Amino acid sequence: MMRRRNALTAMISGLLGSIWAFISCAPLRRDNSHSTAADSETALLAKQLEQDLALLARRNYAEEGIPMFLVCENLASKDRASTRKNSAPESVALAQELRRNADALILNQPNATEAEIPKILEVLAERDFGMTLSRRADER
Amino acid sequence: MSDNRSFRESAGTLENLLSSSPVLRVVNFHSTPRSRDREYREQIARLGKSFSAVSEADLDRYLATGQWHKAKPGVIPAIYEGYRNGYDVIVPLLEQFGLIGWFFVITDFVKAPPAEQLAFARAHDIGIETLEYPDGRYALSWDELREIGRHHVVASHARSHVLLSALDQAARESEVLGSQQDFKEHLGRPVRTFVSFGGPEYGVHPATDKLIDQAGYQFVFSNLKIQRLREWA
Repeated sequence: MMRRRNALTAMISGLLGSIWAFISCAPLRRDNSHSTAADSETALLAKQLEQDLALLARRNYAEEGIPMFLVCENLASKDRASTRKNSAPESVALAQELRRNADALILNQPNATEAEIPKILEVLAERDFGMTLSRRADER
Repeated sequence: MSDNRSFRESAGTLENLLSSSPVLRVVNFHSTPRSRDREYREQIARLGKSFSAVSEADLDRYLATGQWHKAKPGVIPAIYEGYRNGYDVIVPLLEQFGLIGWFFVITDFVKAPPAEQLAFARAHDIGIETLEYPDGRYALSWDELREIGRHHVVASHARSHVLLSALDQAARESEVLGSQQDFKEHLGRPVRTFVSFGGPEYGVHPATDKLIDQAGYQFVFSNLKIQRLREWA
């Protein structure tokens, strides 16, 4: 099902929400519980990312519509901050998702290069407004 | 020992840019054969339900202010190369579902005689997997482009789909200035948007940037960005 503009935020909070729920059932350990939770979250995300990347790699780029996010830059204004200061929360959420998924990718591909960055953005776009991953979810 | 410095640096740079810049959703299409019509219909119908059309004026306003002014966020269906099936298959769907397509056209593909278009495509990295036109015409015609330009956006993808930074100056001029000249001649007006083969952004190859400025393009699309270079007169 097509997700709407706040889907990215919802996805983040949904994922985090389920992780926190899981953690809340575990015995409270104040020493290293934070890093353990973060590690398991990254591991979960790495697994999901690996699956999504594999699925998206099978798309036919020559004939399929491929979703992507593009960053908008206003080079015409002397005050380039005029665009930036109004950036939407959606952009911030997307930046956070990029960071989380980049961290996760390193788990699977320790020697990843910058060429992998657009692929992560493609995955985020597919999760947000694409059809390939939602079809897979529907098939389950 | 792992070396992912370039990955981490690029991810960090993009993260910083994203967190301080507007973003836009784009769906990149290339050849859109009729045999996949159902798939495109489903995709474009979904996009039309959740997102708004983006005209050049909308994009200009969004990039100038950073504020999106419609109730639903914008989406750009970007249709690359100038395939005839973009007109036959995608345009009716875009119009049915209220979206504006951005057609990035390789002008020498359009200018090639129909009998030579498949060979031109093969020689210029223009993928045609589905052979569906017995008359051999696989590129848009200028008549179709003029019609597309009434409701959609026609943009330059240069003349022949080659890496501009690898060309000599004369060939590069032909690609950047020449394609704009082609549009002026056949559409009666310049186009506002340019994208290079391979998707490099403005600012990485000064000789190409200079020509983009000279041709007067307002927007440059690239692999990760849409850049607004100037006001549009």
